[in-house]
Amino acid sequence: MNAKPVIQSQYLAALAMLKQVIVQCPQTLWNVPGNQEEFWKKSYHTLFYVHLYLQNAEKDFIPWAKHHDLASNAPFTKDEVLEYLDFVEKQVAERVITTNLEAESGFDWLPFDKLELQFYNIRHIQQHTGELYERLGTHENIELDWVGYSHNTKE
Amino acid sequence: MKIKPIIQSQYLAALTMLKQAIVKCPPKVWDDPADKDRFWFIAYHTLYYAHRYLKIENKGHVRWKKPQFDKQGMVMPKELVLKHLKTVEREVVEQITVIDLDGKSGYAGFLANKMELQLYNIRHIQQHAGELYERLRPYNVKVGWVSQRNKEPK
Repeated sequence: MNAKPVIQSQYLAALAMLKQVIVQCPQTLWNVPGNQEEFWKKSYHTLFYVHLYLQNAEKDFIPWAKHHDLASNAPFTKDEVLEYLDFVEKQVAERVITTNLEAESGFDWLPFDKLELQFYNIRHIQQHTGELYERLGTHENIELDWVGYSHNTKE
Repeated sequence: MKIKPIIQSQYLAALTMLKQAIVKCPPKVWDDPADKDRFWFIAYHTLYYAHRYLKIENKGHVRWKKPQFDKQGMVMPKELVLKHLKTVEREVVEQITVIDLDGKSGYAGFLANKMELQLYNIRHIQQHAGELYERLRPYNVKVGWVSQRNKEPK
């Protein structure tokens, strides 16, 4: 069983859904003051953890060039988050191929192997994407599509 | 590499999150006429497809009643949805154990194999769990992230 093309496909499908929701988000909803889980912050948080968990271990993680502390509350723009999403898509293509799926997760708070980490990471994207889909549906009556797979994978 | 216990673990984590949303849903949110897709409908729709895609063969198994919400006054009780959830949890254990992950997906022709169908199915559960979590947010309901099988929500 070569699981890697399937993992890449499902990562990229989840990220394509996250991209839809970011692109469709109106500026008025992107950064609502007083909302502890602002749209921009939740989008960025999701991408940050996809990026982090694609690395071999915490010590190997190099933050994205434009990263800054989210607690500073300086919002990322939509263009910046979409730029980060492009970067993370490339990381999926590059990192999954070279990952030893039988190795330990590399993150001491996640006591399982790399294969389970990929499932976990994809679920994490999808959970927050679902939350953001609902937010757009409720506030803006915007409906978005389900993405089943991506054929832009490498073996 | 033991793939099947991992698939089961991540299915059950996603289902535990869905279960939290269902259990914690206040009665007035369960069938709120203001919602285009009612809470109970989304929950049942999620379980319907989880159940369907866990079957080894598309043909020859008993399908549940297709989710419908256009019939006036039709509301599925929470207890029944939770019963369906329990059935799906059981099927995760039983079906994944015997499934050929290299076999054809059997349902969605564009998916590479049964392995991809499982990831697709887990994503589908998680997408709707996320939607329902967000819907509960205004009600200060405590629902958490579940990392793997048998882990308590955080």
